[in-house]
Amino acid sequence: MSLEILSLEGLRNDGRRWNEMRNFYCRTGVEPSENGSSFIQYGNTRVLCIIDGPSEPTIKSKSRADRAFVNVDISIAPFSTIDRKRRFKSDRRIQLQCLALQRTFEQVVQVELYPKSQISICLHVLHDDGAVVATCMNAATLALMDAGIPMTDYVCCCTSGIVDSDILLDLNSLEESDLSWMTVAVMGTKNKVTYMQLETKMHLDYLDSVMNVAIAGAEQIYYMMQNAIRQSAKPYLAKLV
Amino acid sequence: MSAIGYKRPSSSATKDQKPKVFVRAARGKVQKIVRERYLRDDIPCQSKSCPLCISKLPTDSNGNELEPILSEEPFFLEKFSRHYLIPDTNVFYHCMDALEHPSNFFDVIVLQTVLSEIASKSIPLYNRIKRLCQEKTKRFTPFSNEFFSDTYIDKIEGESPNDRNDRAIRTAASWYTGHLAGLGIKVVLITNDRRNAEIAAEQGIQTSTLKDYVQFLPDSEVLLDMISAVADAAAANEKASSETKAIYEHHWSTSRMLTCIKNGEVHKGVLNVSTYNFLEGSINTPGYNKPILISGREYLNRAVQGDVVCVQILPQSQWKTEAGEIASDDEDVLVNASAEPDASRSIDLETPTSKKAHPTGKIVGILKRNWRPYVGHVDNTTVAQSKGGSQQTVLLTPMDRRIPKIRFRTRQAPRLLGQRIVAAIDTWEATSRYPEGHFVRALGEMETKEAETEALLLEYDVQHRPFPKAVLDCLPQEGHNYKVPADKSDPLWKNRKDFRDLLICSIDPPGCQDIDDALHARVLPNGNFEVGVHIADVTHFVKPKTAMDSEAASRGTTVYLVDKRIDMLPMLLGTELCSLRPYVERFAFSCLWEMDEDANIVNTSFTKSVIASKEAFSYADAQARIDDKNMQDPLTNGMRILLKLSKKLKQKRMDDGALNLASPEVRIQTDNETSDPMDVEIKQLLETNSLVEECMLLANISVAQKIYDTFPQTAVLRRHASPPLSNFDSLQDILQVCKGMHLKCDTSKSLAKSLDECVDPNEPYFNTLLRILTTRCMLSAEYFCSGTIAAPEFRHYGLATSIYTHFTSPIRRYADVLAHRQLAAAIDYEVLNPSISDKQRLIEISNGINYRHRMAQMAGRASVEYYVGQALKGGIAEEDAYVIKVFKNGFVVFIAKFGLEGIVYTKSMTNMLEPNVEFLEDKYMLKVEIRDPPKPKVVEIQMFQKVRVRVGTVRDEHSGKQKVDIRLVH
Repeated sequence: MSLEILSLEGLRNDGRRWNEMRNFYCRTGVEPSENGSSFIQYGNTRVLCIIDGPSEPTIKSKSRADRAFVNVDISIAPFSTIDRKRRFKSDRRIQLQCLALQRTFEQVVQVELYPKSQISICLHVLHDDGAVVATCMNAATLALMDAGIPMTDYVCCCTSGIVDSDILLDLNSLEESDLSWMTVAVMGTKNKVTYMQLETKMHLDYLDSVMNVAIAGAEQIYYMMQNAIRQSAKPYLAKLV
Repeated sequence: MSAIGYKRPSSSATKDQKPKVFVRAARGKVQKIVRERYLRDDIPCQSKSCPLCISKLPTDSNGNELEPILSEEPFFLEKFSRHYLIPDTNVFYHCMDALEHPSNFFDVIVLQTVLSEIASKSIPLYNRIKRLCQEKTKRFTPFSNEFFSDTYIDKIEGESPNDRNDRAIRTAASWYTGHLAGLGIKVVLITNDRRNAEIAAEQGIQTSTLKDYVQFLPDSEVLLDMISAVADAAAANEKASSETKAIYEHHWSTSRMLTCIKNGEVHKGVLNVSTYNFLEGSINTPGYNKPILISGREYLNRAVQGDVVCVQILPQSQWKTEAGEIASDDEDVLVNASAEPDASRSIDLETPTSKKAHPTGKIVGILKRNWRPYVGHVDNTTVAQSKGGSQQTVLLTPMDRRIPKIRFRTRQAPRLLGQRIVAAIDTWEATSRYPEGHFVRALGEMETKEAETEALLLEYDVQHRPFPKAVLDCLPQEGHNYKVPADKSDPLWKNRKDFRDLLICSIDPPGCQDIDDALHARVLPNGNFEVGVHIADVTHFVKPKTAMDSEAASRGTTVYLVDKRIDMLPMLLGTELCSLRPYVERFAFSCLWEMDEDANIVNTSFTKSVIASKEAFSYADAQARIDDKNMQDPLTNGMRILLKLSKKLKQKRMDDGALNLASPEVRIQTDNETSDPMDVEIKQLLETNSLVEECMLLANISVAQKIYDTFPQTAVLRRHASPPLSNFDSLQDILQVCKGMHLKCDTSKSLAKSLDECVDPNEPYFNTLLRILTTRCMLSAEYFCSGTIAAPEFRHYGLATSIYTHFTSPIRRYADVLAHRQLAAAIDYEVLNPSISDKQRLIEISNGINYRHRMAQMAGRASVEYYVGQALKGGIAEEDAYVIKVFKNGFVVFIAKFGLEGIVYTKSMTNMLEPNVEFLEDKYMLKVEIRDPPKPKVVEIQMFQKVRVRVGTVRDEHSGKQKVDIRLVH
């Protein structure tokens, strides 16, 4: 293992260059018995998403007369990280991530079409090798589409970071622990940022360019997700014609 | 910016690799590590003559295209034709010195496999290779063979990691051979492993051992010596076969050491060898509040100064006190002494044995070696002249007394005699009395100024290579003609105050060229005084993250030697553009205070400014001008105000308990033309010295406060911790016994007070001597980052202030550069650069500059010592000296006039009969009975006693080197 984030030749510790994403593989309808489901493998990060709903709310108090509410659950498998460790739903980090997803998708999903109901997004992180929140967002987007829930656009999410003055696209967990990075979610190709998270310090001078790299990465993800959706829609298209 | 890409793994059979590794971490936890590896098909071969690879050169995120490094016309040898070199891991590991040779070994391919193996073995070596790759002058290029689909290989079942890596290296070499075939360039795999070479040869790769390869080179003789003993496979085999008896105990295995450290059976620590006796070392461990003593060659068990070692405590019956003996250079004496590591030698120097016994131990293993290249000379008794140019084994006597002699093989032995040379240690086998090493380079004739200076710089790790081009490129284009823009609307004037009209002057030592600071003072309309300290605005020229900045950070400080100055910043900045020279306009960073009559600060402000100094005084000139009643011009009056205020400031400081410490500072008068030393004199201190000092202290304190208020986590400050009281124990006791005086050390204030009271009316120098010894009991001041330590610990003990930093000498200290940047950000002059708000980085930098600072001080002292020695050469002087340490077989004297310290052996006191020596340890006294005719007598030597000594130089027979010889006049 090399010591540096970027080698002398400008390669990262997994052989990528600064502007290269990891392998992105996605599928919808992995769990036919559910309303909607998707699976994403992004490098080594693997996330399974199940949609339940729209249905009658399990928690009555959260029910709204004019729209549906989005409920997000993230469960992180004990075997998903380097250390084997059980994580609970009460974990502050997990709750924050749930909240982030919930707020984002309440904006994107056309909730006013389903008054007094609940849309439940259930995410299972099977392996965490960086960009967990981003992968969860992407998986939720695909699963919601698979469930046939109307949305205004795709939510495409990607990460980028900076080491000295070199910007890197899509960090793995090793890189995430070492440098300052952000998660950015964009609506489709409209360059409209719906979500951005920066937990480490980053100099203001670089913020703009780092964000631009993440947005460009999200755009790539958009094309790949759209491709997957088109593939899965083919059988239905055939029936229509 | 180039487009964002999406990388699919190469479509080759290997696909993306997902090796799963289980690692047992601390506390027995098992960690699972899964990593991806993307194999690429676009790794360029880096050759300038390969059109295929040039077309696919990548760009980095800043849009810079990488350039190929390997030349089109590589080195030609009859046997290998035009070729690039691929050394394997062990060649780098053992023969780096040879590879770094400036005129040999160009166009070298450093494989990723090799680089990562090196990184896991030795980080310093990794950094050396990295620097070679970055500098590009020797055309070393990295090649990521592990990410390249054509050269990546999977581990075969049952293959050891080493074998796999060897195979990876061969695969890469074979790929290069095929890839460059069409261009008429070959590659040569350099490996000393015979089996590896055989397999490679079968695959059609040209191979050679380094030794064989070097024989074809022009400087083969020098290069052959630089190849480490270990790499010499033949020699290694020979050694293994001849079963010589082990002199030392075998070292424990690392895992055994780690387990035993955990159990508490053995202790871990850094070995610190005594400067007086290289066969005695001590180790500080948290387990014992006293250092663990280790004496004798056997118990030191091949550990060298600075190594991290594992030490086993000996039974309490063998505990003793610091050996009261000085090991002389005479090898025989030492051998006898170490042969019987018993208690008879352990004569207490401080107090009775039973009470203060130190734990003793023996070293059972070494966790980390701290070897570096050592400077020394060849011991001429080990050189056989008759052998001529053939290879022989010689011993190197290092300059550092704490390092054992190093044995190495050389073919140029007769030529190395009388030269200062550098050698590195490679191994130290249990069967070998001395460590084995190899020759690195010769510095020149011994006793010549050039060689000795170079040796000194190397020994103290002073970065003294000329500034690289990248650094010089950071200088302003205009060079010497750079001027402060006349037009005040120029952006450079933005937020700068115009102080060109103020009567500012600078006061420095005579002949000072890098003028950091200038001063002014004037009376304000309200009767108060305005005092200004103006510091050279170095950060205007040295911007963060430039090559110049990182060079300055790595140098840390300017090093002053007697005849030479090794600058932190290039000359143009240090002595020209930044230097606040008189009569020219300069950018400055100013601190202004408004003070009342009693030097109480009413108001403080900081600003960037432009000043024009009116005069550059030396301390003496300024003093003369102040003292001259006829001078009544405003500039002189300004200085008088400063003097008046500075005296009050000093008084306040003293009242707070600031210490007035002394260190033996001498000036060396040199001949102007030849710069040969003429005379030695003690530095004179004038009132103006103290004037400048007080103003600078005030500026430093004010700035420290300001940057700490603004950046509580990341301010770069300087502190001086209170010394533990036990540090003063022995000095207090000595003072009580010998002089009947008492030193109170609980606070700096009481120490200052009792130091003032310890005066011997018959001996005016005694007080200064005591101050020198007191200083040695203290800890050294250090730079730190404010977030790492609790605020009460910021105190500067010596200066008795609660907060302190360095701000006033940015030309010669890097810490000041950081303080300047932080202050500029604190007053909103500029945005705080991320590099100086990153705590982790600041901690690293502060540790670095602390180290450089210490080394610079030691180098400076060593240089003075060398010149004092030179000044004494040939002549014999009789001087007064004071006894500052008493041992069983000698004592240490301090000669105030030369600031020189030296050992007088009791042996040397007589000419014929060995004297009878009685050591009264509780009185710190030696009774030497001299039995020489004509008049036998008894001489008593006690601590602090004033003695008359004869100082001369003698030629050391072993080394052929002049050394200072001190003898008692009785």
